[in-house]
Amino acid sequence: MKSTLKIFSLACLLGTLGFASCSKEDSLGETRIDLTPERKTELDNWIDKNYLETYNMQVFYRWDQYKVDMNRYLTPPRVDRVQPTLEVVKAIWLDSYEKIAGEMFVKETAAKELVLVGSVNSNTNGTVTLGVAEQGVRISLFELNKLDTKNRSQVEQFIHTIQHEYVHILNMKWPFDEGAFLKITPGSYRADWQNASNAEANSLGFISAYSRSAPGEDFAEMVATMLQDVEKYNAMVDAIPSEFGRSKIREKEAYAVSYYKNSMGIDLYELCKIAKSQTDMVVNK
Amino acid sequence: MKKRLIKSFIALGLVLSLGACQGDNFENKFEENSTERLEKRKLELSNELTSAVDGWKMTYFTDDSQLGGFTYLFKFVDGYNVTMISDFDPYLGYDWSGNPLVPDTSEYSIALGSTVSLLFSQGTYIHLLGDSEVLPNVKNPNGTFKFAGKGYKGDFQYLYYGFDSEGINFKSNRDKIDIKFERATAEDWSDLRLNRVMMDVVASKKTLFTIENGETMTYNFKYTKTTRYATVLSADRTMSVNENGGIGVGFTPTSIKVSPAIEFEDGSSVSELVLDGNRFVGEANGNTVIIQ
Repeated sequence: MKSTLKIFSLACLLGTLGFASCSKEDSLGETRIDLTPERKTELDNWIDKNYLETYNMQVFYRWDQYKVDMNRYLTPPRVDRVQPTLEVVKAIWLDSYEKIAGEMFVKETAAKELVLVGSVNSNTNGTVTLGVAEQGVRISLFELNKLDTKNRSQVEQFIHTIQHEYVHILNMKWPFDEGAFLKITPGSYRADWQNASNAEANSLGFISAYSRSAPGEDFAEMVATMLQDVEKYNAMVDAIPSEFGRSKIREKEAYAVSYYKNSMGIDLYELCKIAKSQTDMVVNK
Repeated sequence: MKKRLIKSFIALGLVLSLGACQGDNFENKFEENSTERLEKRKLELSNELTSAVDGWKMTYFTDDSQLGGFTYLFKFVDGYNVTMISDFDPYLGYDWSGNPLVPDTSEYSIALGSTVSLLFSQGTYIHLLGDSEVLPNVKNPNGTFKFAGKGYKGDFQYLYYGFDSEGINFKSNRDKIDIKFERATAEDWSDLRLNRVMMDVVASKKTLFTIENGETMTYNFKYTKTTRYATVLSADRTMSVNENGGIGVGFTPTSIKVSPAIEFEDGSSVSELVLDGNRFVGEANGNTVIIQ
């Protein structure tokens, strides 16, 4: 009886599946999606060659609402600003790291997406955001429409932003000991950093007012300021009236140098020299 | 035994019910599937945009509770490029933004988001309306800028809602504000510079009258150039022409457009006033609005 029941059940199951499988099935036919290849301009081809094929990095300069914060009033860059900016970014940021750490290092660590925004990114507290690093894979850069690539101070400020954001990405791959770093100048971090001056920050052992916003930002600001122009950095630190401020900044500098050496095998001072030389080349081109 | 019999019937029931899902004879609500409909819609918009020999004109009221209208002329050269000029001239000091009356060409695309949309994808004059650094010079009582972080609140991606004999209907992507593209003429392109003359004329006006059923109401009219917005209030400041207490003002070479439209009890409304002598006059169904 048992086996009869099992056979009956199995037969029912197979029979029904068999009927179902016999049901008519139309051909899927041709796709209804427009598969026309995306049109590429000369600029797109240049970007493909110098960013996508070289670093596996996609550059977004045409507006895509899903790549930006729609709560902000932001705009795409003018197209004539894109290639000059990307040439600066490549020469000072990517080529500098490639020269000291090799092509593979850059390929493995650089952001996979670079989003270019033409306008200022204004915050409600009156400050502006110059760049954002997101999820370790995307860097967004703002104010492209205002960038004069022959103006040294503008280029340095722009590169400062991208170096700052890149440090955040490196910190995600090689975390630094925030607790230990925090102890260098404990108690002087503040959320309303914009309400205090750079001079006050310097006297407390911070390289800029923004450094006081959080230890991670402090660390990124230290490295970015050194990479912006190491000679100006040294002159600025040496000119700080407060002995306390100077010594604390130098302590943070030593921490950053050690982090670069121990985590990535990079001599930060050497990288600073290369970045400076690359900046000279770009602005004097 | 009984349990196994029950299990067998449950199994049979399950399989039969799955088999019953094979049916394919449901009734389609549309003749085409969603992909086909969207592709068709994109093509429809693209064809419409490029069909206008002299392009399109738009007066965009980005927020008519506090800002006016900004006129743009667009010519969609092909499936990728658009040339535009504008009467919105916020001098920024950027070398490219000094004179929006000089035609500028950039890319556009027909994008897909919540629906088919027109996207001005590369920076040009239209983006000055959405640039947070381009601010109307208006401050709050505490000294901060009223439009900080928002600029003129303009959008440059417009959701497509079809077209009719009067033009193409859009809504702005961010604030869902109605936008109409009307077919432009060659004169529109040559005469856009005259909008600036109208701006100066309207700035000198002080009074707005509404005449409805023979009864005249008088309001103080105070236009602010930087916002293109005019407050419209009775002398005792208790009455206005709408709940906003004012109207956004846009320009043509010979008239002004107002938004929200000034409505009358019979349901008619005035949204355009033509310069007649030294006053602007608009009429609807025997009702009149005069600004002088």
